[in-house]
Amino acid sequence: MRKMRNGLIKNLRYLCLASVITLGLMTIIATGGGGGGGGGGGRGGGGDPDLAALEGTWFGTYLEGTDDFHTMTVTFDDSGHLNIDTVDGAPVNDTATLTKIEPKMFSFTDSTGVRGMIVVDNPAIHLGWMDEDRNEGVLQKGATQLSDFVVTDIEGQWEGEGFQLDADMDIVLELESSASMGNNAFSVDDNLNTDINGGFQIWASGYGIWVGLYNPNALGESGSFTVMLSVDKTFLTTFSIDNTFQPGNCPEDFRYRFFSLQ
Amino acid sequence: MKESAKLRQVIVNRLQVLIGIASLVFGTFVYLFYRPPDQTYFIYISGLNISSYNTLPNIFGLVGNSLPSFIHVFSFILITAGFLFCQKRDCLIVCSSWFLVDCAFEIGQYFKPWSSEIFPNWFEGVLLLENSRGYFVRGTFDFFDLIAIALGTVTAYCVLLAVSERRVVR
Repeated sequence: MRKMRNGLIKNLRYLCLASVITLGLMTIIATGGGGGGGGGGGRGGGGDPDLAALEGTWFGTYLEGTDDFHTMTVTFDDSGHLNIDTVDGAPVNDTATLTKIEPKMFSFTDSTGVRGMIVVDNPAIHLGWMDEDRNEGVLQKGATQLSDFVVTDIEGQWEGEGFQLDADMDIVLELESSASMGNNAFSVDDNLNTDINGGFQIWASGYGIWVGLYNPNALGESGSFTVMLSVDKTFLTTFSIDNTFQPGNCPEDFRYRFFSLQ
Repeated sequence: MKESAKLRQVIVNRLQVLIGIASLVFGTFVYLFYRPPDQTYFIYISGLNISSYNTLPNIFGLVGNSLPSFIHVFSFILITAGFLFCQKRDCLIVCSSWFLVDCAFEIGQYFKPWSSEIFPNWFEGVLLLENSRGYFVRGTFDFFDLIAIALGTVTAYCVLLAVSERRVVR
């Protein structure tokens, strides 16, 4: 009887130990991350203050996958639905629905099934976007026309963040970045060893777009670097692509970063 | 013989477990009052308006950023050791184990590409497990968190030694 009782206590102790360990691991996971991880049904949607903050009409530039430059106007409602109103001033009728990933980061799928991501700055005045067809853009709420850009507009210290996606549009790398931009050279420091620096080669004056090349970094990567500046010149979005990547692998071969002027 | 029979009756060190649970409750308080609800999975997923973020002055300052790391390792060392009714040597094993577990999770946030790949796809859509990947991808590695984990471990060990004589029988 006593033997049985001791065995029971021993088993009970193992059970408690296993429960405590499981609870401990669950607690770590439950207190981290946030944002709901994967955007299951009904987690985004109406009433979300971060989606509501996007409401309004946005205007800016976008760079098509074919490297053509455009302007565009987009209208957001208060619950994560957008309508692309015009491209180069001509009416279009494309819509998309957003899913919140993080407070300032959203994924979307447009009416043609193309998937993309949007990153918004803290005041929700600027946003950068990209999609799996290698289109990228920068928009500003309330803007109606492009600025008269000059080549030195990009100069200054910039703080921001970035990410890299896999082929399923899941984030595989999330960066905290700062950048120092000159009209001829740039240097981007990440919290990981993905820092890059190099020089600009092309400036698209009418659209506020700079294109350059970056030197081999700690990972041995070198390649092209494109910067798109917002209308008010205080926000920019960048994407870099390593020369060694196989061509055409978007989005997984690109790193996107979004910066606000300091 | 008498002592042996007494020891077999010992199930937990209730005081250690209670201290652990109390600090865990305090940790929950920190998350509810000092962390944005969108950045904490259990608050976000609850769908309830349980967050009181920004309602109290930030009394912890910068320390508050790493406080949860301290509290987690401290709490679970106390609870585990309490349930196991640890002696001095066992306490060291418990402390080391939780220290390594917490450090592994923190360091995993530094190696995002690797750690984001280790979870199977079926985790997606499963409550809690679905955030495993997000924990590493969206989390931020902080060296001060590692320091907090180390301090939490040392503090927990000291508390274990301090209360180990006050065994609660039964």
